[in-house]
Amino acid sequence: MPVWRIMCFHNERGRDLFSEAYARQTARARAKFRVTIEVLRDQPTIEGWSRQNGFDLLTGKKYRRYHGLGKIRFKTPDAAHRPLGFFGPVQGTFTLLVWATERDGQFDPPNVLETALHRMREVENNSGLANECNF
Amino acid sequence: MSVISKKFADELNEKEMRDAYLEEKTRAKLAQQIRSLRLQRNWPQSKLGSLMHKPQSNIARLEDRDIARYTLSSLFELASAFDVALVVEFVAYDEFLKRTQNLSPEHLQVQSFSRQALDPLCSDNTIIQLNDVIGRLSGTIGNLDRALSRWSNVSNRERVYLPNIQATPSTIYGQVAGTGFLSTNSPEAIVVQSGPTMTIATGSLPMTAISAVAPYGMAWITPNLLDSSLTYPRLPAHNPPTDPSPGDWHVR
Repeated sequence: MPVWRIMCFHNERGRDLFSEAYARQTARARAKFRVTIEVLRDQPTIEGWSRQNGFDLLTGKKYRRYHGLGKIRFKTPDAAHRPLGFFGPVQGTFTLLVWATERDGQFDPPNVLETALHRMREVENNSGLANECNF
Repeated sequence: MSVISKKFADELNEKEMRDAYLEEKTRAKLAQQIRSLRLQRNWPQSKLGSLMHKPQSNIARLEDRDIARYTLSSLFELASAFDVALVVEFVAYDEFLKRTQNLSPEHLQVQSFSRQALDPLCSDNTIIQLNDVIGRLSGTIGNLDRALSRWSNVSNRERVYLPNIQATPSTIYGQVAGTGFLSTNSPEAIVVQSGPTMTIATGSLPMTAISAVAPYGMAWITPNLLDSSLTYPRLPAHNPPTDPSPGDWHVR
């Protein structure tokens, strides 16, 4: 049984926006994402959520405003994928918020950090928005 | 708990996805297990490198699924350094998904060669002495709710009676000294009952041994725990013996 529970952000209308983005990815990206998540969810402690295992918390001055957000990291031949999420809303849970990519240190879409932050706040205020992923 | 979601099963219907997932998962499991085996032995990468006559940077690459270039030769070298065996085989997808279900570090640990561990292979297969059933068990032990939930999902279970069990229930959480085995490739769950307490251990994929504990306990072992090359006495479900006699395994 996985140690961590992976959830997805659903908007107020119940749409699983993250899984919809997942479904639009190439087979290689979906496979890599799945495997990365499967590695992370089996880590016995939070220390296992490391860069080596495909995860980074957003830290440093540049990301001060986005404290609490983390990015799943993996590459495909065409892009460096960075799905964003956070630990919560309850202990032992990681909630995926939005799919992003990164090039030259810049996220794409450019406003994706704001979107992630907004969604994280929404989930923190209403844990019912974090639900089983539809993928 | 299901092995995969129905959505994912549908997704695997897509050949491109299937191929990509197979490669990524295999690479991930290899990288995770190499690191897990190394850390199990408390070796720095440099120590493993020296055993393989390779620089530390090569080991770092082997532990990174994105850049590793695994070859049969490199896998044999790793097996030799860790003194463990290596299985490379083609399997059906359902088997693959079951075998790669748990990637937790402790689940991927494997003991180095031990002559003693081979003894059960030399004995009468139909009777397995208790001391031969001692081995190593790792995995996650959930709380009772999780355990019961897991138990309710163990289908086609069969009961194997392990009399004269000498360890205490707590040892199921850790390593038990000694050797022996119930050979298995992918145990799904081991359930040990001691008096009114039932404990379920899951996640012992690479284990070649199980240890059943609790005095006069019962162990329910899912069928895929049982090595088809051996014959084990089995009990019909829902018919546990109440007054076991020490000695060999019994069928009732």
